Amino acid sequence: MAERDLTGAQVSLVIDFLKRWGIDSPELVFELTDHYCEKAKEKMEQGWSFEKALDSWKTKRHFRELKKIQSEFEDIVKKKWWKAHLTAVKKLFLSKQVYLYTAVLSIMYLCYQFDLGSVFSMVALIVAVFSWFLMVYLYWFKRYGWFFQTRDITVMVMGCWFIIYEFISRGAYQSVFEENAFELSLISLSVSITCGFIGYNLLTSVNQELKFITSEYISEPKKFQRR
Amino acid sequence: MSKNHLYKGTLSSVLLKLLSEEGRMYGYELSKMAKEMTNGDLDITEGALYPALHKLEANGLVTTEVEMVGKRSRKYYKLTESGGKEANDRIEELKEYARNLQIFLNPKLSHG
Repeated sequence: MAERDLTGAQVSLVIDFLKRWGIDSPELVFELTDHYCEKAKEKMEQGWSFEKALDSWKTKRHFRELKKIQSEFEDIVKKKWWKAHLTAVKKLFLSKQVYLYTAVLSIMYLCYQFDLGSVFSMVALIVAVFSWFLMVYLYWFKRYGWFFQTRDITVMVMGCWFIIYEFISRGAYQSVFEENAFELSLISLSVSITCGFIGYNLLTSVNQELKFITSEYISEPKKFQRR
Repeated sequence: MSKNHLYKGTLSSVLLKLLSEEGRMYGYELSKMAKEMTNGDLDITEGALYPALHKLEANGLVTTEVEMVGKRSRKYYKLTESGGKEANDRIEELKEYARNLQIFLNPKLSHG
């Protein structure tokens, strides 16, 4: 005889039972729903009704069991969260981008030190314009994946947006048209590159590290919200 | 009657062993198989099974995949590469433990 699955209403009752008995995490809800549905099916094969099987779990022992599962799951997620952040910070100082970041800042400060600030600004502007075209190309050929995976250059390319913004907002283009030298703001450029470098790297690393914890939830969040 | 207390401390090893034999399994299937194999002696409760599986996953010994089964999702566990090695080590440890226990229970056999 073919094995009969539970009806949608019966599955909903199992979910409701789990939520009422202390299971909050969506991941746990769907995992335990499968467990208790299988358990109910087994009981029903032995002649029990679904309602009787459901009632048989409404005991103090089950309440303690479910509480334990929920609290231990939360502990594991917390540990993973901290571990993910520590790994992200470690990665930040071990990535190749540290060299590129240090090199760009060093060249920038040396240029300003030797009165070559306007040369640096021009070079930075050319790189920024080139990067802008590169992004248009990537958008056109839908190669975002490559762009975001190649984290060694991503932040610097993102920094180029700031250079273009500063160039336009400070009216520096006028000085170019008047054939005068212009200079980017040393401090604001350093701050923006540093913030971009740290922020972007931490965000992407933490996201990667945490992805495996909530991958199922992230892939189908609407399904859990409906429940 | 369940003799769960005798299996205390070996749960994660039992789970690793089952996964190494079956490839991939879901929570209920693991508890059912453990019970069947031990003629009901090892009745793994939900409160013991899932925290143990989640710890194995957090330690990178097992990985998970989700599949739709009828109206609900099912989470399968399977061993990672390091989990396979760990399973072999733990099985050897358990065999050693069982041998020593046998010697302890039947001292005459060990002298024979």
